[in-house]
Amino acid sequence: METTNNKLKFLLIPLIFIFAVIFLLSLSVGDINTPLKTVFKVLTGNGDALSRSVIIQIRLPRFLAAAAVGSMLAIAGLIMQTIFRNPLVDPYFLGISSAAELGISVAIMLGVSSTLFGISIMSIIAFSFSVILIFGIVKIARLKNFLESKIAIVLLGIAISYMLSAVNNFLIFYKKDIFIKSTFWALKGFNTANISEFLFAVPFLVAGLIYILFNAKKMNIYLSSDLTAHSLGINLSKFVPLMLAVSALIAAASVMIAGSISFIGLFTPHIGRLIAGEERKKLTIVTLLLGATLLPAFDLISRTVLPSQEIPINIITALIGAPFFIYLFFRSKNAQH
Amino acid sequence: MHSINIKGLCFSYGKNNVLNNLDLEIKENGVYCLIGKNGSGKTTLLKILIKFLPHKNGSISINEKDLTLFTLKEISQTIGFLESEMPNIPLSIEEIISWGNFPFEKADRQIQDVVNELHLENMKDKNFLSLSTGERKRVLLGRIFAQSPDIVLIDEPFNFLDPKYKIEVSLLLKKLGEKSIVFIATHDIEAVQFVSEKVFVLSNGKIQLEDTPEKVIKSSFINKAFDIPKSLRKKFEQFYHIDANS
Amino acid sequence: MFEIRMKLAIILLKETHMKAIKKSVFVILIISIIFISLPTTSTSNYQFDYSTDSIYIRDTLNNNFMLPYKPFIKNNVFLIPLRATVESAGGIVEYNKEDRSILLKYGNRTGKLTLGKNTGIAENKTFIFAEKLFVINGRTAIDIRYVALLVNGILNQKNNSCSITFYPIFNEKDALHHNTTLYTEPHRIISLGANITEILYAIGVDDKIIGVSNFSDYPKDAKNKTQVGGFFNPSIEKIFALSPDIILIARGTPLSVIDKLRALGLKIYTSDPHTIDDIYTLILAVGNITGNMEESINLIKKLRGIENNITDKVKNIPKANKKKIYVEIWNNPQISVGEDTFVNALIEGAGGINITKNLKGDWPIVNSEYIIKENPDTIILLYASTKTDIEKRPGWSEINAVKNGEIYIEDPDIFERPSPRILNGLTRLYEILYGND
Repeated sequence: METTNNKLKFLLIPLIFIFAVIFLLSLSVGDINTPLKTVFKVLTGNGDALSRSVIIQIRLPRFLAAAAVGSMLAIAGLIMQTIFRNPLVDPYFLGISSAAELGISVAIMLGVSSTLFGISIMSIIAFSFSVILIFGIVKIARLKNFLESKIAIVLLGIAISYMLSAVNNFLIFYKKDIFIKSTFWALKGFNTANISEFLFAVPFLVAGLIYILFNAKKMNIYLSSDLTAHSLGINLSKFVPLMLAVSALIAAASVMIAGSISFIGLFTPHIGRLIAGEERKKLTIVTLLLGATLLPAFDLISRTVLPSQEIPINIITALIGAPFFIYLFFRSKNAQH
Repeated sequence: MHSINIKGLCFSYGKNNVLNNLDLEIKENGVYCLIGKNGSGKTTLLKILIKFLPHKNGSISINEKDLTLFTLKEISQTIGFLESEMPNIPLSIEEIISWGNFPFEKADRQIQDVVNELHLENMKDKNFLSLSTGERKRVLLGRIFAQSPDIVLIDEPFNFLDPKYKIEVSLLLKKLGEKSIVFIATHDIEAVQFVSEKVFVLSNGKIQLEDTPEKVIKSSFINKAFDIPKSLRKKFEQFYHIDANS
Repeated sequence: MFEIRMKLAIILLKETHMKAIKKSVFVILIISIIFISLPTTSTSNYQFDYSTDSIYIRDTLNNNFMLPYKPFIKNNVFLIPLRATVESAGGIVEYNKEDRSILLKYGNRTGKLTLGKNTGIAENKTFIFAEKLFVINGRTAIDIRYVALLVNGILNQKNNSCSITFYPIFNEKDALHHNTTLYTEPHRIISLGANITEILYAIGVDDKIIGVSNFSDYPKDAKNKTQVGGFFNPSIEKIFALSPDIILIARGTPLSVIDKLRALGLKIYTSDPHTIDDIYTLILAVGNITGNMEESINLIKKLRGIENNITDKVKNIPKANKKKIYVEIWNNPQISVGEDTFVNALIEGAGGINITKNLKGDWPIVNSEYIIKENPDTIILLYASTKTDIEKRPGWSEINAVKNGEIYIEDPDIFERPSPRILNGLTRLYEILYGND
């Protein structure tokens, strides 16, 4: 008989072990040869200058950024899937990535190229656009009391993101520069990840995690139905937009760091569900850890498949994610019958 | 003592009037049934009582306090509500029962008592979806026990239950009725006779009749309330063992 | 090699022959085309297809459109409609109502006719017609021999068939292996490539440009030309409305756009240069199309001179002294250049070693580790990033180029655009790598 009696610590031990393996691999594999022994030396404060700068300044920030973005997307996806009670929803559902893309085009048009605290201003503008979009959607939805119907929010999000893409396409077709540069920006990934970006991401990740853990019980109840949630004192017209805003903020911060990365936010919560069940507290922790393991693993693949060069991370996540998505689709179809 | 008092309640979905100047009063603990044909507005009335739907005309008071003065939290502490559809989520039974504590923000309050009371000890870690329909209903009622509210509103508690669980659920409802007002929307006339002290018949947006179950069922109005055509009346009486002459 | 002979044969089947085949009694003319080309080239892309009721112009893709006229024969003289024939061969017909004269232009050649007279002039030669020039069904009927004289073609008449062999000024396969045939010099040119616009300016035919792609930004005057949209999404309507004699197309224009333009009956020449030699070939082709061979040959000579000068200098650099170079097209992610790019060709031409040459793809994404490992002597930034950004990158301070301050920000157009300015790019690269001497 199926039970949900999986103690969290028994789940976490193997997950943490795999995470540690990916961590060490990420630090030791690369063009410059640094065996595990060297990695340990460097981590304990020894080692030669070249290995130090490669491991500490190039590989470590890259791993950290990928782990942060992976867990952010996983958590953001989990929230979205919970709020829409739909397993096929991802963190970009409300058009965050198209807002970010428009932000990039605008930044290119304004000729912005400098950095602020080690983060490119271009990325900061992209992030601001996503945030404006989120609050715009929530604001409009509240004006018309749309929050009762989640379909209305979705339609609103889709309509607005189409509008943003249209403006973006206009800019792209208007100037050659934007065409070339925005194409490159979409390939960003973790190629140039630095520690400032990771530090920018951490507050969103931590705040989001704390918020979810405090609201885990509410999310559990919300899963049953709007009516039950309401009858148990959950104010849906506050809970739903707040959750959406939290998810969208986390997703927007992740887009700022690595561009939009497909499928991670969609399928990580599913793997989490297979491991931890539906209970939100356990599921959140497991999903977070999975995201922090999977994306660095994919990133490792993206920079080792071809010697000395990188494949855009989206190609890797999509190649692995798409078949999973199809499997999921058929499974949920079958489950309905 | 607990009470529900509704006066002149109107409600409509767009132009479709569902409740029309409805009056209803319950002053004592016990199990009360609201019967009426499909679409007569039973569920609507329950949703209005937990403020899931807004009411514009008429007044409602719960425990002699106007419903509009209740915050959402106070409602969840005063009223326990079970909708007719059962949740379809693979959570543990203990988790679902613990939802009864959610409005009070105290963990583990009474959960063990409820588990003992409903004899759920050996299955509290089980997955809700692995249970049979009757067991699921029992667990959901367990959540209401944990909540132990003044008013219990239940929509269609007997749907899809086999005779054993129908009796079991009825007994649990009676137990709840000792401490609270249990107000049930149903059209299960057999169970109504077994479980309730008083029946309200909802028809054309109004309470058309309120009486003991025996009297309501024997009244000629029941045919009207359930829209039973003349040709089927004999069969209806046979089906529910109604002796029309007595 | 451009002298492809196109033979226009008019085969006439007589009434009597047809009677045997068909019961209806009327004259049926079937006029078809026979192409005869010199052994070195293949068939031309246009076909004139004459049938009883109408005449089609059909290209090799079988897109045809109908000319609204009918050929016929009178007193053993082949008469064909003047305007449609001359125009479909690429000539110009102007009618002056006052003196009823017709002025004909076919490339550099001119002719003059007058309605109601039995003489005409073609290239200063007087031609005497069998009878006075007349109009039938609204169309001027003309002796095929006169047309042959006008287009400088050779007339062949045998029994029932008649043909003119005439010479196109340009007939060459373009980058899509499609024949582009011109019988007259184009006066209205549209350029859909910034590099082609540059070539047109360089050989001095900018006055014939009637439209350019939006990205044509060099020389400055090109920005004043009528813009017809981006190279990847030009306005087909606008191009059609400008009625160009030829559209010169560069890499990147979608096939669907090209097919559409071709279906509209517009003449197209596509190009896709991959090497510096390809650019010379393109300059030659553009010169040939526009009738400016001399200028384009001079330009090529000049460019070759620059190239040879650098090649000679590079020959003397010993292999061990060759400098390693990293070219960054974009900073985030770090995108460099692969083998099949102009930048790579220039680096090799200027005696440098492109550290990203062996990576896959034209624009490989590279990570810092690889660049640190390869340790380039020079870094060139094309689109993004600044010197300080490069210096700040973790671990990059170990790189020779960073240590020695050999970081340059350059105009990407002279490195990437297949225009004559690519030689400026080559010169500049040599200068960066090995100094001015």
